Amino acid sequence: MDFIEARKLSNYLSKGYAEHIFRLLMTYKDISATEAASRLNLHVQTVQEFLETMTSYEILSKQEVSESKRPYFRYKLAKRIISLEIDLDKVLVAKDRTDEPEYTLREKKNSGAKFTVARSGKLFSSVSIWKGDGRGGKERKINLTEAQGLFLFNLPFPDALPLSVDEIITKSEVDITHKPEILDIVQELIELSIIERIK
Amino acid sequence: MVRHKKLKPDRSIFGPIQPVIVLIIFGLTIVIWGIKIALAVLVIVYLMYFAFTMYAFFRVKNYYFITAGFFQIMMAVFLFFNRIGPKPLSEDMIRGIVIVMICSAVMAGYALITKKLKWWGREIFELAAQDVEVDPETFTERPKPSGKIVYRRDDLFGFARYYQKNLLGLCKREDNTLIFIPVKMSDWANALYNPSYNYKDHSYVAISFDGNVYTFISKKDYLDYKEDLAFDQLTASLSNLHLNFFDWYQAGKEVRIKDSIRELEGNIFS
Repeated sequence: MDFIEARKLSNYLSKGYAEHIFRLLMTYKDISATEAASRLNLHVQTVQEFLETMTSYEILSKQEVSESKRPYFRYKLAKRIISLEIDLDKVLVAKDRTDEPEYTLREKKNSGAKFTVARSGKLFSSVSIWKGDGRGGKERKINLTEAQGLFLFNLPFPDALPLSVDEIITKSEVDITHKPEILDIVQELIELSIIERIK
Repeated sequence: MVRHKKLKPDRSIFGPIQPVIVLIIFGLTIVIWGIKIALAVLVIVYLMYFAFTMYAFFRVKNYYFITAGFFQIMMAVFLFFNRIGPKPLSEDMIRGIVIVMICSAVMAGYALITKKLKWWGREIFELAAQDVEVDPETFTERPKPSGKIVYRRDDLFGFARYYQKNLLGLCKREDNTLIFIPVKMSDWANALYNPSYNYKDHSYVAISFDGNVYTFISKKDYLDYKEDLAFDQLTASLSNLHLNFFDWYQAGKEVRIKDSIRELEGNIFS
């Protein structure tokens, strides 16, 4: 399960009526959306949607039946334990872009970013960018880890020759184990148009 | 060699406006309270100048400030004790004071004409920009790591003393770093006397005790150039210039520093 799926499931489980519907499902052998809705005094569409979502997560199973009228579904519990499991290694590490082809970086021209130098003078403690125009604008400030601050301190200027991430890491004398957090801030700053990605 | 000036002309009026203000105050005090009080006010003004000059001397250890201070104190003495001043002395005493005052004026004039009291930050920025190309929209408000050097710490402190004494700029020690801040004539009073002056808002070259060099050019100094120069080149150039100065200082060739700066000096009033 990834974060989007988890968010969707959590959203449904957090509904006030979720517990009551599951209590019905525990009590009844199977139940239709109409029966559950009338029992709980809810709108049938709400219950239908809930039951369908739980079915899509294989928490419920459904069976189509027709009793001298148009067919409908009856739902029953497929499992009695609901778990929400996110494998961070699978979901996040794969997105660390470490396997991407080599590219070079430098600060973007006219980025408008404001880098705050840490007290030591050898690294940045934060980077701020002004988003929006005029009075409606807002400052977005990102506090940096020491490794990120050192890395950005050594980021080539807008008119300088761009360098690869590894070259900047070497120049900054940052431990290579910090590469994932550096790639994270690089990605964020590319999206904020502070860093220019070349190649 | 003819060098192309890349900085905008210095339009600072801080220098010329001071005597004008003093004259206005002097004139108004004469009109309101008479000549004696007006001279007493002038005495106070000169004593204030003297205090500021001595502060500058103790800060940068440039002995020419003493000649200026000597002239200022002699002016105060003359204005106070002359025939129409607040406390007149005998003619002989006044004559003696006038002779000493003229001597002090000659010394101060020499310091002024030979630019011994000139701050050379402007020339440093001119020199740094000499071989830099134009490249718009490359400015970024952050320091640049400019490499690593090997040096003896005593030499660095010696160079810092030289840098201040010769009015190339001011130096500041912060933790394990010496910061060299070039000071222009248009900004020297702010740099020297403003208690809230923060070097981080101004251009500087920092040399840490472990040999790392960082250079920062402020937006104000960058916009002082007529054109948008390639910022990376400009920063590297300012840093290299300081490192060259330091090399020359270490090699006992301080005169080379003055030679290179004086190549760019303006007219006598600059």
